Amino acid sequence: MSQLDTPSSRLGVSSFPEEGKNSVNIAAVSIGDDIDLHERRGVIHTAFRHVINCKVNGSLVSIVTPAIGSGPNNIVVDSVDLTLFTGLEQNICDLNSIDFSNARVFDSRLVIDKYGTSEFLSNLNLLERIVINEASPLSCAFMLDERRGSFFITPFETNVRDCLRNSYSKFIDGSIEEVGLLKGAGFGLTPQGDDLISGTLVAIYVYGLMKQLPTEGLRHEIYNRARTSNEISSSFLLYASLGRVYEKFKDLLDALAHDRARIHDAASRFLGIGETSGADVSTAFILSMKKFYKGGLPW
Amino acid sequence: MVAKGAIRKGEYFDSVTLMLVARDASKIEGVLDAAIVMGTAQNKSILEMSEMLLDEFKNTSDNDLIIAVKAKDEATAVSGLKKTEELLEKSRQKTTDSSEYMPKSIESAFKVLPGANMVIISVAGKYAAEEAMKALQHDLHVMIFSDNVPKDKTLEVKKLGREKGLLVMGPDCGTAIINGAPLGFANVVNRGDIGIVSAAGTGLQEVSSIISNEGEGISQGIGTGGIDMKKEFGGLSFLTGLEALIADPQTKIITLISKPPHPEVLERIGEVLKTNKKPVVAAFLGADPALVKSIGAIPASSLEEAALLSVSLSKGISMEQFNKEIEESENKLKELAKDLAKQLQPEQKYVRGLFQGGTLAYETQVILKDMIGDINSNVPLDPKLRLADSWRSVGHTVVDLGEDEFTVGRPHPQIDFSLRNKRILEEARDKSVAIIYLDVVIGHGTNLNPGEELAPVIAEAKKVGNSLIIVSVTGTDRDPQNKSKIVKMYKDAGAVVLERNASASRLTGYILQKLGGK
Amino acid sequence: MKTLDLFASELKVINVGLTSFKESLEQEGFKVVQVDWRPPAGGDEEVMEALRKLMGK
Repeated sequence: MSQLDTPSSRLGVSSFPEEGKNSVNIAAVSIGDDIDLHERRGVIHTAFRHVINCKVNGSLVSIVTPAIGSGPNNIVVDSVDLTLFTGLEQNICDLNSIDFSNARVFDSRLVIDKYGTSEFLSNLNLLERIVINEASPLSCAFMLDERRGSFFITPFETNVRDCLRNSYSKFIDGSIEEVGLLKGAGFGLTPQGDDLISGTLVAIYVYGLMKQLPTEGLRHEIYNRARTSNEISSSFLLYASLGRVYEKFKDLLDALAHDRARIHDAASRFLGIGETSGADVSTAFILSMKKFYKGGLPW
Repeated sequence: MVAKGAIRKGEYFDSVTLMLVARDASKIEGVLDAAIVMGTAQNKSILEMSEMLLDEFKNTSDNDLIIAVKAKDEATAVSGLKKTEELLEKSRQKTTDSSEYMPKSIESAFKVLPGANMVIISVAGKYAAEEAMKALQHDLHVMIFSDNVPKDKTLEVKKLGREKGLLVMGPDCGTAIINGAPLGFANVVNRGDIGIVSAAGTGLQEVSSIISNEGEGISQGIGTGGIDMKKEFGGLSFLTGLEALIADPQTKIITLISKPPHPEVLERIGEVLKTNKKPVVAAFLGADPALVKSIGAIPASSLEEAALLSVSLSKGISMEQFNKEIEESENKLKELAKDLAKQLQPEQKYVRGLFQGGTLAYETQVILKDMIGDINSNVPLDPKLRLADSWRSVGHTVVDLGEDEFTVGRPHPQIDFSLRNKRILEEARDKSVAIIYLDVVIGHGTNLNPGEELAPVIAEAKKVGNSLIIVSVTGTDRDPQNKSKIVKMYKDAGAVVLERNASASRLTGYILQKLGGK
Repeated sequence: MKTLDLFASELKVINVGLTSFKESLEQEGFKVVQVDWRPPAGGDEEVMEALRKLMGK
C-alpha cells in the first residue's frame, strides 16, 4: 500500500463488500483513498475511544469517529464511541463488521490550483496569529513567538524546547541531516519532532505545486531519514511526504488557499487534534512556507 | 541528585495524559524533574541532557514509554517514581472513560455536537466569563455554575446575553431544569405547565420538588444565580427568563423565586408583567406582600407556599379550597409540635440550624424570626446578628455551610457531609440545644449516599444528647438517591422528617414557642 | 425567539468543567459532550499575563 498510484484505480464502488457474515454494527461514513478493502482482517495496534489503529495487510488503517475526520488511511464510522465496536475481538480487528454501502471515498490529495502569492502569505500570517493565540502551552508554537517559550517550566521541558528549536532551525536552514535529530524528539505518542517534519513535508509539496518545481526526490529523502519503528508516526510522515493529508488539515489548507473567512474555524478544529500535533504541524508549515517564499527551498 | 525510572512496553496513553502526569509529577515534594516520553533516540539524548538517562533505558525502542524522575535523594526518587506510576494508572482508568480526542474548546465541541444549544460552565471563576462569551458568540445559551466571576465580566456576559436574547443562567447558578434536563444540582421532576425563574439554587430545587411531589410538573426551571437581582446586574438574566416563560406555550403558570429584589429590578419585572396574562406566583422571601401584589404577582411567603399555590392554579383549585387545605395541615403541625415539646428538658431552649442550601437557611430565618425572635447566623437577616465565629453557635443559630469560610478547598456541603456531621455532634452535646435542624437536598450532582452518611450521625446525636432532630428532605422519588429509603433511615435513627423546609421550620417555631421561645 | 427555539428543540449540551454534570445528563438520556478544558497558559498567572499581552488583550 505504500506505492501509491491514483486512488480511484484501487477503489471503486464495486469493491465495497456485500453484507459481511458477522453482524454489522456500525456504518462507514467515509473511507480513505489509500485503503484497499480486499483484506478485511487486521491486528489491533492501539485502541482509544475515538481511534482504533489496525495493521491490515502490513499497512496502518485507522477506524475513527467523525470527531477525528477522514484521512488517506482512515475509515470514519458513524459512532461516537468505538469501545462498543463489535468488530474487535481480542487482538483482531474485523472490518466485516462495518457497513460500507453508504461510505464516500475521501480524496486525500492536496490540490492547490490557483493562488495569488500575496493572498496566501497574508492568509498565512492570519493563521500564524491564530496558532500563537490558541495552541496549547507545550506545543511548538513558541517557534512563532518566543514569549511562548515560558510555558516550558521543568528542566526537562526546557531541554525539549531548546532541542526542538535548535534542530528545527538547522534543518530549515538547509541541514537535511538534522532530520535524524528531530525525529522522535519531544512529547506525545507521535513525537513533536515528527510533526514538525510532517508540516515541513506538506509545505514542500505545496510550494512545489505552486512553483511547478519537482520536489518528489527531496520529500522522499526526508521521509526516509524520518521514519522510525513508530508505525503511527511513520504512517503520518509517509502520507505527508506524498502530499496526502487528513481532512482537518486539508480543510485548513483549502481555507488558506481559497477562503480567508473560513480560516479561523478550520484552524481551531485542526488545533484540536491531539495535544500538540495540530499546532506543531501548523507551526512547521508556516515557518517553512515563509522561508521558501523568501529564498526558495534551502536543501 | 538521584534519578529513577521505568519502562512501559506496549502500553499507550494519550498525549494529554503523558504531559499532565509529568507536570504533576514534577510538583511532588522533593522531585526536581520528571519526564514521560517515547523511548526514541532523540528523547534519550534529551534525557541525558536532563541527567535522567538511566542504563536500563538504553535499549528502548521508539514504541516504548520511558518514565523518569529526578529527585534530591534516593528515597524521594523512588517514592516519586511510584507516585508517578500511580498517577499514570489513575489517568489510564480515566482515559478508558474519556476520549483521546475530546474537544479542547467550545468551538471544537460544537463541531462534535452540531445542534448544541446549551453550554454549562463550571471552571474556575476567573476563566468562566471568557468561556461564557465564547458560547454566546456562538449563539448558545449558557449556564454558569462558577462563582467568583469578576463583577465587570459578569455584567458584560449578562448584557451580551440580554442583547442576543440568550439565556445567561449565572454566574453562581447552581440549579436549572431545561427541557426536563437536570443542570447542575437539580432534581428529576415531572414535566408540566409550571415555569419557574429562580435566583436561588436550592430554592428552585425545593419548589420544583414539591410541585412534582404534588403531582404537577415543571415546563422550565430557569436559574439566574444569586447575584442577578442586585442593582448592579439589574435582573438581566431574570428578565430574559421571565420573558421566555411568558411567551412559552407550554408554560401556563409562572413562579418567581428570589430574595427581595432591588427596587429598580422589581420595577423592571413589573414592566414586563404589564403585558402578561398568565398567573404569576412570586416567592420574594421576606418581601412586603403589598409590593409583590403591586407588580401584578401573587405573593407567597415561603417556597412551599409558592409551590402549593402554583399547583393549585395549575389544577384549577379555588383559593378557598387551597386555604382550607393549608389550615388543616397547619393544625396537624401544631399538634405534632405539642407532642414533641414534651420530650424536652427545661434547660433546652435553642435551635441550631445547619444548612446545605443557602436559600433554605435564608427561608428558615425569615420564618423563625417572626416566631421566636433573634437568630444569629453567618448569613444573618440583620447584620447585628452576625456570628462572631461561624464555627461556634450562640443562642438560636442558623449556619449556611455553603459559605466561603466552610468551603475553601472542600467540596460543597451538598456533596461532602463531613463538616456538618461533626458540627451535629457538637450541637448534640450542648445541653441548651432543643432542636438540631438539618436540610438534606438530594438530586443530581449531590451526595449519592445521604442516607448512609447521615443516619448514623443522627443516631449518635440522639445518644449523646436529648435534642430533637428535625430534618427537611428536598427531592423526588425519581432522583438518583432513593428518597423514601433515606426518609425511613432518618426516621429510624430518631429524626422527625418532613419534606418541606417551610413546614419543618414552622414546626420548629411552634415547638420553641411551646417552650416559651420568644 | 431564541429561548423558545431552545424550549422546542432537543437539548444538546456542551459541558465545560465538572464531569459529574455530564454524567447526570447522560443518566437522564440527554446528549452532552465534554470539553477537555485547560486554563490558558496552564493556569500559571505570570504566564497567563504574558499570554494576554501577547494577544493584545
